[in-house]
Amino acid sequence: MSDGPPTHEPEPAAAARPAAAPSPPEPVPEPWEPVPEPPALGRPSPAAARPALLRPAAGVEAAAYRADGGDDEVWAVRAASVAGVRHRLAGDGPEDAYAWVRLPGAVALIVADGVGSVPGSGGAARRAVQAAGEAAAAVFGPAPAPDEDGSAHDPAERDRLAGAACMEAVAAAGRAAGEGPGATTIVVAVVADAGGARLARVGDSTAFVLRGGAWHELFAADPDDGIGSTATAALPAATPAVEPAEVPLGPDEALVLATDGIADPLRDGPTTVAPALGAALRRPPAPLALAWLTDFSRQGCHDDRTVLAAWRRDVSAD
Amino acid sequence: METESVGPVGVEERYAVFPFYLCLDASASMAGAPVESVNRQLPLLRAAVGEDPAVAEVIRFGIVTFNDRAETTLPLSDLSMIESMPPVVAQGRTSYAAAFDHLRAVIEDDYHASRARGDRWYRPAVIFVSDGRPTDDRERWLAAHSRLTDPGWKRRPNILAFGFGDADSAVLAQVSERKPNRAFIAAEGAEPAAVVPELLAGLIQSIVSSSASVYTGEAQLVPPEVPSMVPIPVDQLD
Repeated sequence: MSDGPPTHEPEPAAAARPAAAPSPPEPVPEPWEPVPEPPALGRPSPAAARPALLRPAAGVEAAAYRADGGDDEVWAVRAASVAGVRHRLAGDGPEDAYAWVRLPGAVALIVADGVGSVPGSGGAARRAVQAAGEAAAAVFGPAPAPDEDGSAHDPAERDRLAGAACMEAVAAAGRAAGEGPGATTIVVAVVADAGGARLARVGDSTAFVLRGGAWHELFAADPDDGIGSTATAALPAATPAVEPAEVPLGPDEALVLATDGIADPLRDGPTTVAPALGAALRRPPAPLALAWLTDFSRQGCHDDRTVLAAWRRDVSAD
Repeated sequence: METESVGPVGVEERYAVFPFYLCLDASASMAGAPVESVNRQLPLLRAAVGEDPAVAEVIRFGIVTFNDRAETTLPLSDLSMIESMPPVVAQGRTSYAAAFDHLRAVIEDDYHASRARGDRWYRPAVIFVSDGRPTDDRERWLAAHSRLTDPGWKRRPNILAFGFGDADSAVLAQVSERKPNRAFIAAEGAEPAAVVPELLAGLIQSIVSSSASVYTGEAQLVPPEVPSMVPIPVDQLD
């Protein structure tokens, strides 16, 4: 027994303490809401619901999911590209590619689709879009000095440059595609800041104008003879079949370039895919939102999908 | 300069499908080991194609058998919806004309029924398999073949022809329209009982590869690889 000051009774073990009145648990803040699965547009695809196979190696250059975009004083540009279901289930990377280049007084948009039956076509598509962008930039040259007011500002001159840039871009894409294995389609659009769009393509990648919620294709689709086409023109080619097109781009209109992974279901889905993409692209969407929608599920639609769109901001009602 | 856009997108909801028809000789000479092998292999084909949604979503598969007459034993189907394959019974003679006339009629009917369901067809494929020579008049089966392959008929199929037993190389080359790498004959000494399993295994791979070509945007008929069969040379100038 101690003579010292009395000590406090030891604290009862926690387990021996009388139970405190339960208080409601603090809500745990959710750092993020789970993102819902991409929508089914039409009959859903069971294959699209399967998980992707881990690829042996991957990097940003050929990512299975790509989204990008930005605005300046004249243009809003958005891009989304997703690997097709078949590629994802097989552990393969995508074979689509895209690029845009802001030119002095214009913008160039480029989309390419590697030909699946030819090995190395993903690389061919990537080389093609890069070369096409560089060629378009070379046609336009450097930006004029601020005090210059020469012919480069003339609308007719811009239109001439846009047309020339499209053809040079396709030619350069063909040379670049031929520098390695593979083959690719390509579609190029060059749009003056104040003017219409000039386009050129080889193969079945295509372009649309979204006008008042309705899609208008700028190149002639294959005739509907009841049987789908089974071959497409591609680069490199000794004498490529280059199709030109041109279109005015008015207020509240989007110019949309697309590979056939988008264009085919858009044509085949006038009550599903077309209105869904039309609603999403009525105004420039968030890039990730566009990529999410681009990954829609639809029976039998398992090709790589790329969409690259531009809106003229100075005339549209943001 | 301004031009109007080419045109608005259409109004019809459609889904792309790739029709495959197995056109199988069920004459009496197929009795025994060959037809027993076919009946063992067809369920494997159903499972391989029907249980892979990436393939089954786009492939439609039908079976036509022929002897004195031709009949559809499996209507053009989504194999993921089929529980069993119909057995093949071998009897009678070998009428190529009956096979070709039936194919022409059934493809046309299937196309319209499929289109009404909202399908968009890639050009159909016919896998023609025979162990014998045609027993009908040459003019008759050639006329039926001409109707099936008429360039003016939009639904005309691509034909792959395979032969073993008493099948004739020259006849098979004509069946496949003398196109390169479309007609195959069993290598000398290859037994039908060994050829049939290889052929149907090759057909599975052909269907899978062909369906993959659809997904890459370029539908094409990929010939089966059958080790005990060899391509029949054709004159490419024809």
